[in-house]
Amino acid sequence: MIDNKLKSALLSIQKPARYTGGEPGCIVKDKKNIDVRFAFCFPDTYEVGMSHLGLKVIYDVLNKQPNIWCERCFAPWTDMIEQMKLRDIPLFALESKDPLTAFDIVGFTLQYELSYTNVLLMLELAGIPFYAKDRGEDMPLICAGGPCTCNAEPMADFFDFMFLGEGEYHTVEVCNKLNELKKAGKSKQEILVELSKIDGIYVPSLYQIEYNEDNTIKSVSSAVNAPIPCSKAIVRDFKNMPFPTDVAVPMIGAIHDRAMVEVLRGCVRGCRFCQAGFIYRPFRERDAELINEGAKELCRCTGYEEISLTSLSTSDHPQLEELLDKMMVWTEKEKVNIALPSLRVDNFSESLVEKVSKVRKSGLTFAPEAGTQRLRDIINKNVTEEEIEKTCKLAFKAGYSAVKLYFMMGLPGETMEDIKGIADTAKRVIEYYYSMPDRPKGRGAEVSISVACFVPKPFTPFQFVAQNTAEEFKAKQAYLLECCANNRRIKVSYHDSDTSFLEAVFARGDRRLSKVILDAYKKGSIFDGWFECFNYQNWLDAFAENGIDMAFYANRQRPLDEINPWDHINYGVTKDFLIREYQKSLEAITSRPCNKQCYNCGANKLLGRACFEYNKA
Amino acid sequence: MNTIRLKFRKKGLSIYYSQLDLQRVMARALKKSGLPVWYSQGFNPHIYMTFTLPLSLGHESECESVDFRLNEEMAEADILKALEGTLPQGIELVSAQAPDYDARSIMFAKYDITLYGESKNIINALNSYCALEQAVVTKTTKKGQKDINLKELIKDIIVTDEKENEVTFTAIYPAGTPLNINPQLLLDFLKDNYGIEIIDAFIIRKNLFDKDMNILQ
Repeated sequence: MIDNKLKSALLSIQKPARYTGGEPGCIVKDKKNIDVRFAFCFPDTYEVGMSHLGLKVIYDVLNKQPNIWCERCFAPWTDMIEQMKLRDIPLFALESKDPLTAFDIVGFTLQYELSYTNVLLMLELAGIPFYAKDRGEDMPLICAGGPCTCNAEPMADFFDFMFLGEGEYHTVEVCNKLNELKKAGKSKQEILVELSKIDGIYVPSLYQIEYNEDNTIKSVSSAVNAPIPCSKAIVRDFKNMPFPTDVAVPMIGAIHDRAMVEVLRGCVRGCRFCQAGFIYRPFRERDAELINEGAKELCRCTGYEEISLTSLSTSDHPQLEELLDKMMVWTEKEKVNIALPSLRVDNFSESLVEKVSKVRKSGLTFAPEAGTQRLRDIINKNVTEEEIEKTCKLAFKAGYSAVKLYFMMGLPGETMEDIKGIADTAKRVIEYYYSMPDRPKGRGAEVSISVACFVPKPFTPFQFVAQNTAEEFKAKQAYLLECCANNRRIKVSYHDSDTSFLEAVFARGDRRLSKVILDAYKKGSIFDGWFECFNYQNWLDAFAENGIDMAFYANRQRPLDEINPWDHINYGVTKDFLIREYQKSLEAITSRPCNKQCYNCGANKLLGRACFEYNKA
Repeated sequence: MNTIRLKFRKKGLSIYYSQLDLQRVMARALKKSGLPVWYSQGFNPHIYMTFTLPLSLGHESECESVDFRLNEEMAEADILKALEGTLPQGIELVSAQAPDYDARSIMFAKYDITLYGESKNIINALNSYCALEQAVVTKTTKKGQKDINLKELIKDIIVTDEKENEVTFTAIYPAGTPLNINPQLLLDFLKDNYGIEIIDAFIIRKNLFDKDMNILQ
C-alpha cells in the first residue's frame, strides 16, 4: 500500500491519482499464488497510457491466467520525477506499489519513436541498468512490444527481447515458458535462446549486424541460429477472439476516456504511406454479435457513456450497419453514445450518417491526405473529388457544418501544385456547403485542415524514399498559408518538422542509434512527444557527438536492393510486394482494396489460408 | 422521485481524487450500479448529483455525502448493495437515506491535522498562534484576493496527540457557502510566521456542524 514516503510525494504534486491505481477494474492478486509478475510499462503519462486499448487487452489476457499477475506502470510527469528522486522512491507498478525490479518481466509498449527516451527514464527511475548486456541474472527481463518493434533496432541494445505482432497469445506463452525455465534453473542467456524459438519473439542480442564502409548494412546473421527472418505473431481466429469487458477505468480522465472495442484488425486499403495498413495485415474482422454482446457488457462494467468502435477503417467492417442496428437497441436506452472514428470518405453512406448523427453530432473528420488526384493516386489513397463532394454534402445535409480534413505534405512526387491543391480542396468544401439550399441555417461552414509532415516508415512501399528536409517542409507550409490567406472559414494547422525529422531517423534507424538515444536522455531529453518538453538541440548535439549523420537515415533515397535494418524481420508483407507497390506509385498507378483483388502481399501466409473468398465478392 | 443522500468516507487511495474527479467517479458508479437513477431532462441528459461540501484534494474525510435522485422507492440495503464494487478503493459507503439536513445549513467543519516535524517547534507555533490578537492571511477566491483574520474564525486549537516528530491537533473552521476556510490557510500562516518546518501534513475532515454547533450527520 501507500507508505508515508509515497504519501508525502503524492501530496506535493499535480494529479496524484496518476500514481495511485485503485481504479474499479484494476486487478490486485495475492503474490503467494503468482509464478510470473509482468509489469506493463507505457512510456508516457497515465492519461495517455490509459487511453491505449492494447494495454487493456494484454492486461486482461495475462490476468486471466491464475498464476500470472500483470500490473501497470506509466512514465511519471516531471513533478513526480523530482519527488521520486528527492525521496528515493524507485519506480513502482500501480497495483502493488512494488518497484519494477521485483518483477519477472518488465514490458514496454513502443507506440511512437518519440517515447524512446521515456523508456530510459523509467529504467533509470527503477534502478535498472540501461543496456541489456549490463544487466545481471537478478534483473527482470526487459522487453518491448507495440507497432515500433517492427523496427525497434535503435532500441535494440536496451531490450532483452521484443514481441513482434499481436500479443494476445504469445505474451502468455512467454510467461509460462519463462516460469518453466526459471524453475529449471536456466541462465538468462539460455532463457533468451529458448524464448527466441517462440513465434514472434525477437531477441536482438542473438543477431550480429555487419556494416559496409558507407554505413549501410552488409549482413545480418545469428551465431545461435535464431530465426532469419523472425516473423510476427498474429491471432488467426480474430473473428471469435473475445476482448476485455471489465477494464480499469481512469478516475482522473484519460485522453480517450471512453469504452473501446476493436472491431477489425488490419486494413484492406493499402495506402502506400501508411505503416499500420501493412504491419497489421492480414485483414480480419470480429463477429458482429460478439462485438455487440461484449460492448454491452463493457458499458455495464465500466459505466462509460460512450463507446468507440475502433479500427483502422471501421466502415470496412462487412457487418457495420447490422452491428449498429443491434447496438442501438440498448445504447439509446442506456444513454450510451456510439463513436465511429476512422470512417472512409468513399463508403460513408446516407444510412450510416443518419445512424451516427442519431447518437452524436459533433464535427466530422475526413482524411483525403493529398490535395490533388494525381498525388492521391501516387499514395494509393483511393478517394476521388466526387466522393469528397458527395460525403460533405451528405454530412451538411445531416446538420454538420464543421469539417476537419487531414493532409500530409512531403509525399513522394509532390509539387507545389499539390500543396495548392490542399487549399483548393478546402475551398471547394466550403463552396459545396453554400451551394446547398437545405444547409443548416444560421451557421457558417468551417473547414479545419491539419497538415502533417510525411515520415517514411518501414514495411511500406515508401520505405525507400527520402523524407523532405526541414527547408522543404518550411517552404511548403509557407506556401500553403499563402494559398489559404484571406479565407476566414479555413483554419490551417501543421506539425512541427523537427519532431517529424527525428521520427523519420528512428523509424528507419539501426542499432548504432541506441547510444545516441542514451546520450540525448543523459542531456535531459524526456517526453520528446510533448511540445513543452521537446529539446531539439539535445538531439542535434547527441548525433553530432556520436558522428552520426541524421540525413543518412531520413533524407536518403534507399536503393531497392539495400539491406534495411528491418529486413530480417517478417511482418507478412514481402519486400518484393513493397517494391512492386513502390514502382506502381512512380507511375501513379493505384491498387484496389485487397478484399476486391489480391496483390499477393504475402500476409495470407501468416493466416495459412486466403484472406478473402474472392469468388464470392 | 426520491432524493437519496449517500454518505461516505473518503480515505486511502481515494483522497487523491479531486472534486471534479469525484463527480465523474460517482456518476460512473451510479451508472454501473444499475440503480434507477434520475437523469436531468435536458438536451444532454446526465445524472443529477449534488455534493454537500467539496473536499480539497489530499484531505481525508469521515463525513462526505452526495445527493442524487431515484425514480423508484428502494430500501437502503438494496441501494448500498447495488453500489458495492462500483467505487474505487478508499471510498467507504456509510448510508443511503433521505437527506437529513439542508446543505445550506452547514456552517462549520472540524478537521484533525497531523503535522510531521520537530514537535517542540510545532507546539510552540500553535501556542503562539493561540496567544495572538490577530492573524491576517490573504485568501484567494474566485472574486480575487481578500484579507481575513484567522483568529476571528479559528478560535480553539486543541492538541490531541504529541509524539517525537508528530503533533495532531483539532480545530473547527467556518465551512459551507457563506465562508469556507481551508485548513491549509492555517498551516501556511504557521509556516510563514513561525518558520516551522513541516515535513508533511495529513488532514482529516471529521464532522460538519450547523450554526448552533449541532453535528450534522
